[in-house]
Amino acid sequence: MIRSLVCVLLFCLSATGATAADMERLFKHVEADIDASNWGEAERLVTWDAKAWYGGDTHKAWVKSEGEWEDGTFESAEFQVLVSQMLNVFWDGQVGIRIDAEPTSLLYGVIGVHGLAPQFIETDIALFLSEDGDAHIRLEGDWDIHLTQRLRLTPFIETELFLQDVDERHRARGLATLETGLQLAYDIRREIVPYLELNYETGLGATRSLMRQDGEAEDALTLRAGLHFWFN
Amino acid sequence: MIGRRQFLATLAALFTARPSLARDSAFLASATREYTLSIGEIGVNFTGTPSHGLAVNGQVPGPPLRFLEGEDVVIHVANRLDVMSSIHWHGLLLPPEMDGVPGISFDGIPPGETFTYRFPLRQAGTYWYHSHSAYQEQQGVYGPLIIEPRGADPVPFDREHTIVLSDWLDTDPADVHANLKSMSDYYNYAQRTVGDFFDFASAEGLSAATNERLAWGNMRMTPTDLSDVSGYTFLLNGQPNDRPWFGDMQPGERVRLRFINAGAMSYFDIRIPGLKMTVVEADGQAVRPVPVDEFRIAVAETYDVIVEPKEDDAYQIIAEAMDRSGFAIGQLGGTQGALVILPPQRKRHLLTMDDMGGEHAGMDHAQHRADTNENTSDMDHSTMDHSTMDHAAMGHAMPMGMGIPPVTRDNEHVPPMDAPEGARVLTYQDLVALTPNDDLREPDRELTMTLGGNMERYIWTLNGDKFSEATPIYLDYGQRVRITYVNDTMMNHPMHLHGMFVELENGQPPANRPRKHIVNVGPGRRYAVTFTADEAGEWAFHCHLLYHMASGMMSKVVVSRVNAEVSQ
Repeated sequence: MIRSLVCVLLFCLSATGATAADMERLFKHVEADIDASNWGEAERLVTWDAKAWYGGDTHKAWVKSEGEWEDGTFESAEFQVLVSQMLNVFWDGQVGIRIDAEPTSLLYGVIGVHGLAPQFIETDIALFLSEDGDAHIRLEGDWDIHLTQRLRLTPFIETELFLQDVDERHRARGLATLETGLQLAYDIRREIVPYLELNYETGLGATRSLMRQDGEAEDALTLRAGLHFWFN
Repeated sequence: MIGRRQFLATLAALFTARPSLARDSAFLASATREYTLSIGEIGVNFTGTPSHGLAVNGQVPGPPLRFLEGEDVVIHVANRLDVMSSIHWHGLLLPPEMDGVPGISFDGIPPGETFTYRFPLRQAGTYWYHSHSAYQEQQGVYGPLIIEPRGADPVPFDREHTIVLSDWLDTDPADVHANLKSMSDYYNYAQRTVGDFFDFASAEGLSAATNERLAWGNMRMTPTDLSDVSGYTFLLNGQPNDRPWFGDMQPGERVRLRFINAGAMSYFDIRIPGLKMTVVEADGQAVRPVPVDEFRIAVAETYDVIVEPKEDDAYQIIAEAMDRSGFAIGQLGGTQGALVILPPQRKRHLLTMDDMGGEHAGMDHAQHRADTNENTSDMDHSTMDHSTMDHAAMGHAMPMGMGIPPVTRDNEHVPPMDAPEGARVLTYQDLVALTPNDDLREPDRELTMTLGGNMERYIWTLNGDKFSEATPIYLDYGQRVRITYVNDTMMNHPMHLHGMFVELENGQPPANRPRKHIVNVGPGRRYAVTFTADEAGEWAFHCHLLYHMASGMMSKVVVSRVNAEVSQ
């Protein structure tokens, strides 16, 4: 399974190379959100979410990373290497691999779509198949509301749906986790955007009890201060 | 800066190439006029911040090139950059290998090398030249090119000024393009806010406001996409408006103003308060005089107007950017520096649902889409089936009949110019060729050119293809061709066919249709042009908005004599 996904990935990467050959200019883009909360208290939390792409309109190579660092340890650290193919005006298909360094070292195959849904909802949907054979779907969406030309309020939601119980990672079949909140961001310039984020994370359904058994907090409300920046 | 050779050439021209002599002298008619141009880097300061640009012979705009109709042109263009360059002679009829488009006409001019352009001049009028390489046009590589008629000028005048309008950004245009790819609304600081929503709601009601937002949101489009790039400093003859260009003028004179829009992305609305402007030439081709108060100039168009000041006054040339983000201004007559005050900015308009391409107008457009897609290939008039189009269902002012200009005097300018009540504004309908067209055949070839684009990805297409994907358009030599542009986007596109003039189907009798090298096609509108494919060779065909062309809105037209012989 994983091997075949890697093959697909390599095939698509070679397609990205073909785009370069037809003399179209290729572009690159690197962006990151880094934020922190609870400074001075016991549970200091730093989270990051970074993405970079390189390519043309039709094919791009992507690298993504996200994770959490809490009180000196990495709670989670995830990396993805993907290739994307334009499906239509608003959507790209993505395929590749995900490597989790934390909480446990694990390899996944990834297939997903990324794009702009009606009403300008930035959407990311991905299916992750782990080397252990389990699968889950992650759905992310956010929506920019312009308060002024530079001040934006962005409600967001991220949820994970597990297709089976994964006891060792404290996830139960069904909707397992939900992260939602509001981000208030100000464009100092387009590329430099400090923000405040009210973030609520919670376990859902049977996952909640698995988390509780493990001593993991079932939900957390945090106020985060962070910086979104990008360059190209 | 005028080079010595150019000075000598000009001097020689003064003695040898007077229009009155040239008329009946075969020797002079074939005289050669030679220029040497050099493309290099220069330091500039248009915005208050030192920056660097590119220039022809060290100046922005480049030096005016003046010729006499019928002369043989020899222009040596030296590339002093460390990247490829080129010069395209915009609007000139010439052999295709002299057209200056890298990848189509020739390979371009390598760094450090000189390319010599040679061609005979077969026309007169106001034209211009610019680099056709990378983003060099945005960086300053452009200038006017004026060809005096061999006979008497149909438009007598006492004095003339060339007015080159352009747009400047300190940011490297390659970075501008990258920013648009990273974030297509990077330059849009006029987006609709929550406050705008409540303003709308208090005027129209909450549900109307909500429905309106939802309708736009469903299409993932915004009515504020008037222009992709903003933050421009606008220049008139290379002068920003804190030190405006000045041109002398005396009362009682007939003054010819040759307007050239050398902007990369900016349309301008032009007026000279206190003076009527009589339009006498469009895109270098003489037209019957049209007195107007205001006109809009699309990117890469030229218009010649006559003004006749009666008072010894200072007059202000006001060229306001269509997206109302600024002005280029200049002063005519009076004491230099008398007029530096900027006029009040006119209202910035939002686009409306009518300004969307058919695909997006919120109705069931399956039929229409199917139709335009079929039309993307060649078609025979007789096989066209208009019954598949449900005109009534369109619900917006987009006449779908082939060959009928969809625009009227009232709605031609989108967004509107907002000229004051009673002011006369030029539209394409007003343009009547001064000398009749000689080929009055009905088209025997129909092409539909769908102008497509996608703000989200910043991709722009012709018939759904980017330049890298497009197959050339093959035409037979001598064929009479109609192109119907269908603008499926919310932006104006100034469409430019190299090598041949097209006749606007603007409601005038075929013999009087104006000949143009640029055709503006308004948002969500159709427009048809006809031309005779009488210039063999390979020609570029593109939207003249620089970042649209660079993002794929370009194709190639091949006019082939071989096919003509085979088919006859």
